[in-house]
Amino acid sequence: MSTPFLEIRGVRKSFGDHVVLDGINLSVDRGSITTIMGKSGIGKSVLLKCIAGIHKPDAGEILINGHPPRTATNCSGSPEAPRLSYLFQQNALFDSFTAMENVALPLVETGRTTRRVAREKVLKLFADLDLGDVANKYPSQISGGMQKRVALARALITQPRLILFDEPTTGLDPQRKNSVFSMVADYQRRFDFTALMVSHDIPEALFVSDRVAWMDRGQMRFVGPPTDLEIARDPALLEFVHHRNELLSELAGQHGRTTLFADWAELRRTYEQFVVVSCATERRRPGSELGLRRFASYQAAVACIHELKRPHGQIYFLDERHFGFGVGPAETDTVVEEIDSALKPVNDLSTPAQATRYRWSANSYRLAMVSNPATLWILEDQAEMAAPPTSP
Amino acid sequence: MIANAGRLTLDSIHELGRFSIFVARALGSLFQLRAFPSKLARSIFEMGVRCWPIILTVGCFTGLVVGLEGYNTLSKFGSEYALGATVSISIISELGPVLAALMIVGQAGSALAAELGIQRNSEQIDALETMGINPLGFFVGPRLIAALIIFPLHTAFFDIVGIVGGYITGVVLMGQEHGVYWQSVHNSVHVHDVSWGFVKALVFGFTITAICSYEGFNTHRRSSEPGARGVSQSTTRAVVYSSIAVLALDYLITAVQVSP
Repeated sequence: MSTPFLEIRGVRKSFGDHVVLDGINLSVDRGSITTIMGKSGIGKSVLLKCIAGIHKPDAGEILINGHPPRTATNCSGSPEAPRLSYLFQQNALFDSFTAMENVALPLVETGRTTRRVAREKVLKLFADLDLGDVANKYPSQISGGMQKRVALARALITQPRLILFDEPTTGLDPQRKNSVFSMVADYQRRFDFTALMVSHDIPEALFVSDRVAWMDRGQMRFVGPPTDLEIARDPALLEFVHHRNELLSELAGQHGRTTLFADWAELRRTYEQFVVVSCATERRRPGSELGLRRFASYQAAVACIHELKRPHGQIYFLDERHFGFGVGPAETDTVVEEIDSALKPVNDLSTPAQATRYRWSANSYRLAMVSNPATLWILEDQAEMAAPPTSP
Repeated sequence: MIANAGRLTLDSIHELGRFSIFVARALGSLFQLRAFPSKLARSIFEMGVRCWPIILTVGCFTGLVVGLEGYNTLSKFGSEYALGATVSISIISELGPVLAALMIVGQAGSALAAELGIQRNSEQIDALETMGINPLGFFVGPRLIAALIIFPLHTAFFDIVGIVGGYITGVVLMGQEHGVYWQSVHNSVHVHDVSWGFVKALVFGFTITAICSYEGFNTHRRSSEPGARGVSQSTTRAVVYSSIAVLALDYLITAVQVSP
């Protein structure tokens, strides 16, 4: 078994009577991207600052490649600790310095690098990161996305082995958020550093992460690959991860995906089959991704299913184009046909004149064959791919 | 009440200890600092060049007022010839160092506390830590040294402008012989007075810069509210504590100066 690059053992940190970190344990492998998730104000940034050496833990141990971290004023760290960089939530660029001066700062102030050599290194890095035209601009003269890239350039200039990202997408629009995540993944491959990132952006952050850690009440309550989130059972974690579907459930006044994940074993015991009602779209137009018109169709479809007045009643809202429910042994043969028939008025609402048409249909799966909800998505994807394409 | 008084005393001693360590570390960090001359030059510019208009204005009006009050008072005793001595001694010994220091507190000290407070809130100080740069050396150390250079210069400038202000009142407005005024100045001012004025300037400069830096640097810890209000609190504290320190130290130094 290889030694983890970053190891956090039993770290505790309090501010007065307020316990923020209550025995944090986490291991991060070399060259990986690990994302720490959790609600606001639970101490994720405090943990990063403990790792960076800005805060001193009350108890526990933090080791980077086997050495305690060290900063300019924290003399308890080891000089052999690998160099780390920290990308702050608000970038922490110096307003009175140009982008070039900001990025050159760690070289000029800490090493034996002359200003001329530092300038050459910064210009080369700027060229690599497509930042050439902002070198002589002040942070206030460039956009938020560019500031983020300059801050990342400053983090990279010292060739750190570990970079801590504290909510790198805060305050950015969805497009820029995606580009920041792709930038992190791209630079991690190119510069071969280990990344520890704090983010609330689900699912975007999960796409670039090798591992995910979920922090709650001062402890790490889940650590594993992002795919394992689908089979996690902690209700608080499920609520956090599936918050978007919770919103859909709340809007429709029903139980949601969180309950489905938490009650899956009970559902399998109670019902024979699980019926997934899904919406297929024959083509996508700008705006259809927002799901606004689709949601109107979604609400109509939910209302139709309710009109069937099925005895089970509980509908699980999976996302903006899927919902489903358990079906008992007595009705398994007829239920899909009934639902298809009930959905006909909803499907008829989509006229040929509409830019995007939504076609609702139902599939039934034997619960004995579906060990967890994640398997359900695989089966549903296979069914969608096998279905003949709808004509425009 | 006794318990509260005791707690307050202990807290004050604790804070004084922190302050002393802060200053010692800031000075110690100068030995590791790179490009010290350029940082010193920048600090001298911020404290020195930006403050001279206010020093000029206040120095001039102080001289004018002292000249006017002094002339009216001295004329009651037929001692107008002593106007130069009155203006120069009061300005060189007391008003020059104290008022110049208070003006710099208002102009540069408040700006220093606010700037460091904002840098603390926007995590720029933490950023330096993670880059391996000592923020005390980067932000505070050069300013302490700059204060030792700038305060005596500002005080000297204030003294000269103030004495010229007294000249304008006494000679230009009140019609005193200008030779009488300058002779009085020449006869009354000794190196000893000027030296003590500069001692005051050095002590005030160092103390003010240290207090303002300390308050700004510790905005997150010393303010009851975060963000802009926290910075506002630390700036206010910096100005108030610095002004009190100037007046208290002035008394102490003067007591030492006049003691036999």
